[in-house]
Amino acid sequence: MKWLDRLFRKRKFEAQIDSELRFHIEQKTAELVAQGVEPTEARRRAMAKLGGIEAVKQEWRESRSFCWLERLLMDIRYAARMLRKSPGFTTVAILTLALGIGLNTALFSVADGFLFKTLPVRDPQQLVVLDWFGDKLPAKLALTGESNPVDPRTGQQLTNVFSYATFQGLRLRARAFRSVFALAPIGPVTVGWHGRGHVGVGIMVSGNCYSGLGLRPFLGRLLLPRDDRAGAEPVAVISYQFWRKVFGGDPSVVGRAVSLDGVFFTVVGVTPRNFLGVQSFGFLSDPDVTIPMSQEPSINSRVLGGLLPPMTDPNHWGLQLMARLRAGATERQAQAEANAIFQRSLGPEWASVSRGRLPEIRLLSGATGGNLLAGFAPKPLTVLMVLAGLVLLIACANVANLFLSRAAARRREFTIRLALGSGRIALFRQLIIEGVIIAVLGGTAGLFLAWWGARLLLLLLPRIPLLNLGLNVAPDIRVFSFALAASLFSGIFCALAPAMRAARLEPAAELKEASASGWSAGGRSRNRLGKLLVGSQIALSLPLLVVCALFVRTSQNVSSTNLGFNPRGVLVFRLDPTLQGYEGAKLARLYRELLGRLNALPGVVSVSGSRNAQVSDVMMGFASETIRVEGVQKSRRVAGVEVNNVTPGFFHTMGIPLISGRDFTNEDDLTGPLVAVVSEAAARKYFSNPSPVGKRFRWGGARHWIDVVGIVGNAKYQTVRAKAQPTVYLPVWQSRRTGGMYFEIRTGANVASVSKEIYSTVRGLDPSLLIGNMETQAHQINSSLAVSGDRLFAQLTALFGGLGLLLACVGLYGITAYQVSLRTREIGIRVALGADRGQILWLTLRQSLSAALLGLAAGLLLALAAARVVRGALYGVAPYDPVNLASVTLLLAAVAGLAAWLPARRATEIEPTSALRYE
Amino acid sequence: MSDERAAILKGTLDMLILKVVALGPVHGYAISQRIQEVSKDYFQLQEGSLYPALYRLEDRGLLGAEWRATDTGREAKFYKLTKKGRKRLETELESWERMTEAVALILRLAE
Repeated sequence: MKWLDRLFRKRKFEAQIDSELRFHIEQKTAELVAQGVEPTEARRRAMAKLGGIEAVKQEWRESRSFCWLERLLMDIRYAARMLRKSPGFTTVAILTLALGIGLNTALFSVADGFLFKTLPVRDPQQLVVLDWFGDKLPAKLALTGESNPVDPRTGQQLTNVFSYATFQGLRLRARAFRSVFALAPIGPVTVGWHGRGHVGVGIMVSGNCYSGLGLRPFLGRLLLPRDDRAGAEPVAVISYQFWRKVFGGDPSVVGRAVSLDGVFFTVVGVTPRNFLGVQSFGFLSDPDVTIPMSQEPSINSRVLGGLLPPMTDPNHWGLQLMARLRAGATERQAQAEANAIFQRSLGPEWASVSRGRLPEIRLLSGATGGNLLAGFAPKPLTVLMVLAGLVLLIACANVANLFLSRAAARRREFTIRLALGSGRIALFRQLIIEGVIIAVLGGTAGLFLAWWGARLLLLLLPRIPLLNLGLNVAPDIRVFSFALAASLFSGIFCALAPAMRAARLEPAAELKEASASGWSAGGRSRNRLGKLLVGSQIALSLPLLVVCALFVRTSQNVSSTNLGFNPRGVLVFRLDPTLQGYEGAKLARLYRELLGRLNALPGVVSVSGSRNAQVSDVMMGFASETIRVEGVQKSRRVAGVEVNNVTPGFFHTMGIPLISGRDFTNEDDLTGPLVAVVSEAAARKYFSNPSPVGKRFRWGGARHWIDVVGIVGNAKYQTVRAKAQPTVYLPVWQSRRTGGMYFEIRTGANVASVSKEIYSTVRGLDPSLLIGNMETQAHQINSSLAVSGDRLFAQLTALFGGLGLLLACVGLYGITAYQVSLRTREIGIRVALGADRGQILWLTLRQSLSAALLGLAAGLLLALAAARVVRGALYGVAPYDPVNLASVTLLLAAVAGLAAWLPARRATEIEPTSALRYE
Repeated sequence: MSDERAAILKGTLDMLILKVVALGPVHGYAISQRIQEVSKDYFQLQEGSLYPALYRLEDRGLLGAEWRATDTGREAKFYKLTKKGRKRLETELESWERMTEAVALILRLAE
């Protein structure tokens, strides 16, 4: 290990060599003096014989073969010094790479947080989520999610809703699972605490849910099987985020009672900070409050208005199931067993179905909690990552061009070094090291950018609960290594070509050149590479911009799509007087009074109330399985119909056109005949008649007929893109059990003043009433999942597109400017010989433009391919929309042209005399 | 020194150094003197290449070194042969003898 020694004690060793050699010279001198030579001459001869102390030292240094580390350190120091000498180049290169890498890393960490991070539970890979597919959906589907996808190939329905019977069967008899647990969302609940109400998302789980997941509490304890028994004390667990938001992080809340829509629960614990829930029914459920399923009866009556049959009804389908595999059981075994149990637990509905056509269960990996954003963002995130990758490539091309120009400028330096005996490998290595240094610095800067970028990304999504707090997108080791890999790759990639070029220089030929001009053979091929880089930058920018334009259009379309109602000027808030003990007739009276008073407010055009809000993220559903139209023989199945209970004036307030018949009136109450208003789609679907006013129908299993008194236009509820579902509206005054309601106020006046009035009106009625979530309808729509996702996407792609465009233009400008500087002498000569400005302009532009044109052509092909890929995510705009393509291409061409023209114009102003003197 | 001799010396310098040092601990100057003396001036060592060779042998563990005072009182670096060096010297000598034998045999071939 002597070499290691030598590395660290270099000075000591060199001193030793020094003294040894001096000794040698002294001896030699003494010998020569003894032979009679004159002392100074003797000394000179001795030194000459030895060959010089420094030379020996140098030869010694060079002869050491295993000191690559020291050589590397030397190279790095030298490279750093060279980079410091050209600060402009260094800064621009680092910034460019930082942008490209930072963007990618930010996106990667966000994507990682959503898609790849597994649940913070024990052994997440043992978890599975169950769903099933079959020819039809059960009639009593308690809850429909966002949509129940249909497999286009087989036409089969896919859903993750299970019945209680299946749950019991699996829990008791499936041996491949160590535990099976169930989840069922409740929807929004008003949590009362210290006299204030906060709306949160509630969920019911089976008692073994938390132990099945393997979660440990942050505070207190989590639900246990003993909480899930009939007659057990009502307990609840709250999420970390909700605990911070509503209870201010007060630890004393554990053990205290809170009211959930009027029912009291004792809070027993808080879930960990990074546990954001499990996907439920295709919705992002970030459950704020979790209660055991055994509490369902009280919840059912209060929150769900008693509309649902009890959960334990064997035919009630309203549970999502997850399971933990037993160690040693394979998924295949588990699936087979689960399938058998599932099919046996199917109710009489499937009794007549043949064996082979029975629905089948599927097991999906539950490690990420049911793929939290499966319905929302994996494809878009992938698309974003590809786009960010494109930007990185463009950035690298830019930096590579920078390196090329710099290497070209240093050709003299290189040739002299080569001529003086520096090895080619050494030169090559040194240039690569310069590239790596720039890249590492750029990567580090990019990492910082990424940190802020990721948080910025999250800020752009205001309402989606999952993304607000707690989502940890701090760079972790994976993200960091990704950034490092990206930067190393870019550095080597960028420095490679110029380094290879430099290593191949022929010193003799080079030094014969009077100056670095654009004429030499080396110059020509260097131009080619430069042009290739610029062309590829443009080629990569075009698909970026095209995709960006497509998404911007999509976002605009989504925002402006006809929702079937007019959200402008509408204020919405939620009220739940059941918390204060109102119910039945007293509640109805309160509502009527409130509506009357609100209507009387100045500036208010119209007021109404409804059980469900438009385009909110809340699901709707109905438990009846069939609808029977008078005069039609068969009952029709109603999976997928939406039902809303509304007050009179709802359609007017919301701007939903009344097409025929009439609206509800205050006389449509419990004393009169049952009435309903249906949407056009419902009319067409169930009554096969665009105007079934006067027809009657009844819900399957109900005794009373309902008269259709009006037809209204279609309005969208949960989704903006999909078509409006058939909707049946029932009067609130005729529903037997009413709970909290949303109120809509159409006003022409200033929103702030009206909302103040509303508050005082409500307080005037009863000061203890809690108003929740007051906002404008437009704001609510904009922040709903349906719209904000698209908007964010459009914003992000616009960012990428702009960035790519900027980089490409900078690159084009740079290379044209460089060309000009190379050919200054040539241009001077031409001007002196009589060429005019126009010819000069054309000369300098010609090369850049040819590169740009080729780039545009290639880019167009890439853009078409890219448009095809993102086809599925678009709305309202065709992927190959020619207007889009043409305008984007023209934009890019124009900007690129400008970038090339500016330096070219300067070329025309070159004075021949100064040019010829220019070296 | 003519080119041929220089070439031979280069190839065998290590071996010569080892042999000289085998006779007893000695410093660098003395080694160069020795080689010149004993070869009767046939080899005139380019002293500049002696020391790098010494350092190389030391790195490889064939020579050991220590600083000692000479008789003049000056400190100098004395080299001695290590066990590894001794073994190496033996193998080198063997192969050298075999080679010279072979060459001699061929040269003596009657024409």
